[in-house]
Amino acid sequence: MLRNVSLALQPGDIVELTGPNGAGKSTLLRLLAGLHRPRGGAITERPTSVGYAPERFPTDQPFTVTAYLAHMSALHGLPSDAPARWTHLLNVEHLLGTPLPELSKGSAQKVGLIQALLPTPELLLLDEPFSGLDATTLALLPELLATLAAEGATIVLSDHQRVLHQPEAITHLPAIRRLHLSDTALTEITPTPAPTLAAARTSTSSTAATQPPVTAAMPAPTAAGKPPPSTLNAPAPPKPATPSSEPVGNPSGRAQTITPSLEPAGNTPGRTQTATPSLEPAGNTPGQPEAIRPTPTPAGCAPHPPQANTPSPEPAGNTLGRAEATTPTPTLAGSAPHPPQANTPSRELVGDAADTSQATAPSPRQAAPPASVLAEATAAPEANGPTPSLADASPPPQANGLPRLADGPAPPLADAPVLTGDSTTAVTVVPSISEPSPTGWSEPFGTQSDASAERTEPPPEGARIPTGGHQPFAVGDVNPIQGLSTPAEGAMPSTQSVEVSEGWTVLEVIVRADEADDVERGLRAAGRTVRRVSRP
Amino acid sequence: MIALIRFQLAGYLRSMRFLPSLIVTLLLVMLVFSQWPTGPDPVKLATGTYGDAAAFMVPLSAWTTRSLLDTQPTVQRWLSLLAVRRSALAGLFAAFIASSALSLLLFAAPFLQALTVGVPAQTTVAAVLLAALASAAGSFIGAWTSRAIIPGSGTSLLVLLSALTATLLLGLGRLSFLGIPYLDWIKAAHDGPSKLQAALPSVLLHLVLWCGVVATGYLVTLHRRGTPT
Repeated sequence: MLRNVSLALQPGDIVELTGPNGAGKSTLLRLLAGLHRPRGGAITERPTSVGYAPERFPTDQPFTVTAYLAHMSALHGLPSDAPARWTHLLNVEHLLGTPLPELSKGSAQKVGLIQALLPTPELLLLDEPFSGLDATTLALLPELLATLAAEGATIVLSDHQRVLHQPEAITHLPAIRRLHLSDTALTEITPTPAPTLAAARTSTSSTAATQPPVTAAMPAPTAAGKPPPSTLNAPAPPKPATPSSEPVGNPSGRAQTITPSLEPAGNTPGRTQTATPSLEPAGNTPGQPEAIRPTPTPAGCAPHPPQANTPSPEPAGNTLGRAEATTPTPTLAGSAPHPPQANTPSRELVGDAADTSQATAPSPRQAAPPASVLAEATAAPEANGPTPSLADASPPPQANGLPRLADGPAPPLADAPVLTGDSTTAVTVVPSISEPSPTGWSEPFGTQSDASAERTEPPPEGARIPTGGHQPFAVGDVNPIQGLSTPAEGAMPSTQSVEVSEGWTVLEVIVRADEADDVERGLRAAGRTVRRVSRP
Repeated sequence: MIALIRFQLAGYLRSMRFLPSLIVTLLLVMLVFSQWPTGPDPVKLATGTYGDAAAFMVPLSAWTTRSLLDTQPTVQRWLSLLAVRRSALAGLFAAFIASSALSLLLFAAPFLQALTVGVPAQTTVAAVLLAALASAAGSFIGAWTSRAIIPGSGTSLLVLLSALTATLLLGLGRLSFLGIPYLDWIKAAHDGPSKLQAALPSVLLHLVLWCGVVATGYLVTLHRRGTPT
């Protein structure tokens, strides 16, 4: 199954294994664990302490969670109360008396994770660890992995849910190594910028199918990724790399991906920015946070540290004066526990965006938001709370589709992953929270309204995301009728306005060519309808 | 290793997988008690019961061992293996403990009979040694048919029955050294205490060698398996 695989893992490495089903990811993990013996070759210098979380935890055992974990602790020579901190961290305490066979998939997965973490392994192998986990735990895991890696553990995991590709995860795992397993070969994917995931609201009608992608110069998601303090008394994980603006997988130059920025952001502790209002971040000075909402802190986690906004490449005043500044991107707010902190694209990106933008007409949203607006948006509305907007008039929902983009203010956005691209072609992946998520993968960081509601402060009234012009975008509920739209859409001429049937949203996702299969597979696995279009 | 032994025994008990072995053991005990040694030579009869009980211990221990080793799901055995590298040995020890417990229960009936009719203590000691080795031999057969070696439960059951039958039938021919010497010790026990004690050294040696070979083969096979099941 695997041939000519050569791999060296160092302490502190976090390695993500990708590949199609049956490629051998689980086999490789078991080989690394020592459970399988290679027919040829050797695996040497394996650490003595190995933690392995199987893809499917074996619940067919006559133990309660407590008894099982106590036995596993004893196997590792640990006291019976050793699992306590993990059960608390992963919120399993209420299940301690539950027999293993009665556990749900996610709960069983947590028990599997706990038993793997018990011995404080030097080599931690996680086979699809995110499968079935709730949003809170999903948000916690990248941070936890970063902490363990910072302690010196080598972590190898497979991730079909692509949780680690979310900007929120990348923030914590900037130095993650990505290995792709396919056709018996293992190849290492060189570090690339953050995923550019773009979407535009289009129509399900045939007319809309002929429409070009919504073109909007989007601010580059320069995610300031200073991880929160370790909850495990471990040093903080390494910082992400510096921003990069090189285009990847963008032969036409219309889409670019940006490596999450590591520039510290200056937000309020425990708060996370959820909007990317300006390509030219006028308000990215400490004290002028963008739309901010409290970060849902996983149980057992310390509050996040203050994060400084990315220093603006230009003085705010200059930015404000730039008429060609790209519009603020109303990225979806309120979902990500550790979303990008500051989206400060490079100035070159602005130029690129302008050059390749299909929206040649000046858009109202292509004006940088005034500083006063930025200052106003110190907190985003609660995920399920009111959806204030900059404009007084909110768009009335239409009976059979989304409101016409050009007819009124754009509807509010809420609770979806903040996946923004800087591409001119493109824009956002917006999994609507109103859509069912058969597998739950699509909302690992997105639909955390529950967690947010539990752990966040109520947003101040009138909180809004500056969008510039007349296109107000507020953070709040996603109305299935109002749907999801972007400033770019709002900037579209009325002739390009489209209507989408209630409950449906057409997304355009632009990914790297080598990731296309995985993304498509993941979307299909999540029950999405995928139509693939190759572009020159 | 002790923790893993306890883990496996706890799983075996909690899963109630011991019930079939326990029920069979109780039936055998009832059978022994229903045939209390009487007649002109009760000592000889009681000694013969020792031999019969030891012979029954082989399949009983084999079944018990197979059930115990198969209690843990495969993936859990992997997890146990990562925690305790000598998990195969721990499994065997756990199986010995479970088999020994049932063997003691089974051995209680002939022991009571022997005490009642006055069987010599040396004969009882010899019978205990014989029973222990017979139980161990049965455990190794059961281990060979556990899921770790034979993944399919139906296949492993057939192999278990075939192995027990083969070890019995092999004792009839030239290849008797390959089998378990049931017939030798049963015949010696039914011939009386002196005959049993006389035959015991060779029987015990045979059993020790047989168990050693089978146990070594089991552990080596487990160790060499590229993919644990």
